Amino acid sequence: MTRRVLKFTFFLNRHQVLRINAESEEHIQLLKELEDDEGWELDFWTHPASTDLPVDVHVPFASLHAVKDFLQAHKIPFHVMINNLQELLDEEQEGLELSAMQERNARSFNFGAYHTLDTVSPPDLHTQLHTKHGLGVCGGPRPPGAVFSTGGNKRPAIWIDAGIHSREWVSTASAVWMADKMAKDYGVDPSVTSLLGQMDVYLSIVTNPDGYAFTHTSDRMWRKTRSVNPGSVCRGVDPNRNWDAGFGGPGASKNPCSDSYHGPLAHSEIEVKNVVDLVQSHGNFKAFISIHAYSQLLMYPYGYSCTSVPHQAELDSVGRSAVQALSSLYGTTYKVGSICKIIYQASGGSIDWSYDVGIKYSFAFELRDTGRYGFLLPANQIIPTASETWLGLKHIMEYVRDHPY
Amino acid sequence: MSEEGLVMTSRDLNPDYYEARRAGNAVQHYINTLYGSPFRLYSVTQVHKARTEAMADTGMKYFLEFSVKDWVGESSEWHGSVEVLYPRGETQAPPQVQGSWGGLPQLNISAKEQEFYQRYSAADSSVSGKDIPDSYGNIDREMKPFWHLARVAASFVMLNESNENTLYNMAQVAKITQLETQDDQLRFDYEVLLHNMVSQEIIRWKLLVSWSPAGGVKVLETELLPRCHCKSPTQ
Repeated sequence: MTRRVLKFTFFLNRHQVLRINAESEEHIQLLKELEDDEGWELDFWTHPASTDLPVDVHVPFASLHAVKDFLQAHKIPFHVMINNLQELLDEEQEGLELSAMQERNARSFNFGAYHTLDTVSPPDLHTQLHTKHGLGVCGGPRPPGAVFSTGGNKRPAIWIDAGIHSREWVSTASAVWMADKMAKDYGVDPSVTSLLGQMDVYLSIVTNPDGYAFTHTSDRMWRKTRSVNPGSVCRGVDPNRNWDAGFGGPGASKNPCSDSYHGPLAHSEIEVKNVVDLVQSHGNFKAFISIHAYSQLLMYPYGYSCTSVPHQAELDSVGRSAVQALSSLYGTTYKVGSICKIIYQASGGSIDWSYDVGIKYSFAFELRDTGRYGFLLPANQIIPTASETWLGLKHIMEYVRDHPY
Repeated sequence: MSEEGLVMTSRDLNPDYYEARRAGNAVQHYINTLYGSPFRLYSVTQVHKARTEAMADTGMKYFLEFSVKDWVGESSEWHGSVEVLYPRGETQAPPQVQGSWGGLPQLNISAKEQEFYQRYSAADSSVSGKDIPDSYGNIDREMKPFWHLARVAASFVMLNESNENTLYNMAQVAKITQLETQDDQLRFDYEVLLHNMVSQEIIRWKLLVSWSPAGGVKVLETELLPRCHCKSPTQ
């Protein structure tokens, strides 16, 4: 492959690359003679050695007819592998240049700052990644997010959402950093590479875009969606009380003015319904992780009930070792437990829903801090928070990768 | 079940779980009302052991062993034990906290307090500010003692409002306005936003606060304000 890159400086229009399948020693001999003949300016990318291996030859346009006639005359099977080398290399060069430009843009993106909705992630985060070693990253304008995939159809997948509660800015800021980190580490870090080689990762960076925009324009402490509640001056539904898991039960309010209003019915909020529909139609999610702030907690289901889930022991164990990994960076301490036992009984939560539809590895993070700054975490803590959280998240994802079900 | 006034049931609590955490939170507010200052604020960093006993007549008593430190002065952690009694009743009443605080780390802050007091007791002093910290977590260095002072004052309210179903924190100082010094006490009008983690509500309180190095922090008046609908409801 490196030979292709080196040759991009030459004019290669209508040059082709032929793949030749020698079937006998005689064929091999003939191909060796072809290689020795400098007149046709052939460039053998792989050398004739054995009938087991194909022989790839770059043939200049001027020599194409002659070479093909030669191969046909001796009944040596071949086919055109690359139809126009220049075109292919132009594409690749464009890709490299685009990639370099995106990387420059991404490096000038300030991961250590809070951004508005329109500028929340590096420009063309997804395009930057697409050309790298076949790691496909698809993104959409709204809600901001990324899908990391190295191909395959409906591979086992991991769902991660950030910013479902709009005032929890460090959740979104951390997700942006982690998306960039995951892309950078692919092809470099063996664990991330093997993870993305087997599983797809869906990362929703601003899961409540309307709320997030509102925290910038009007009310920094806004938590909910911005949907209109008929008959009330108060807007918005708590998107983490709106899931179909013990919906309408304890720990959620029926008052539209409340910050924990569950909404008129389960999945009434488009922000929630979109995720539900995606996860259900995909049908192959193996983990569901929700990122919130603040309190420094790593929790698993249930919130709607204080009964232990069947997989409680395993989830607790994974949670504890994830927290150990997280703490290893800066000594930040986290508590681990079910939502109901650690903070409160709360019905209609996302990870309760995901667990109950069969996604065993369901977790919720509450990031820094423990109350000193609370929702108003200084920007200089974004990267430290994201870096340590990444270690915990990575641990969970590796565990999911290694424990298929 | 048992005679009136006798202890009924004793239950060990997981110190990481919410019952113990909420009680520890109330203790933190209590300590700050006693010992907090523009230059000293305490945080309960960890509950190590917790136990409850239902007191038939009076309410629910918690026994805690915990660690606490002054995070403004960056003191070392102190390990203490405390009893918290949440009273029985229909209306809100603050928990009663009993402990001995002789071992609480109290770093020497008198020089800082004096300097601060001198500066702002000048006749023309009229400090004012809003959104502390701002949306991005920034606080002007000069405003930090006022932020600390707000947290101490807020602790009085948070303690008053605490029960087994609350977990209060001060989320932000919405407004601060210095008023005329009276009786050698600096006085401030504060508007603070409290966050109750259990209900997830943001609650606005107006506080009239006085302070001097000798007088300590006093909350003279409190007023509960309606939640701000910051833009008109039609938007």
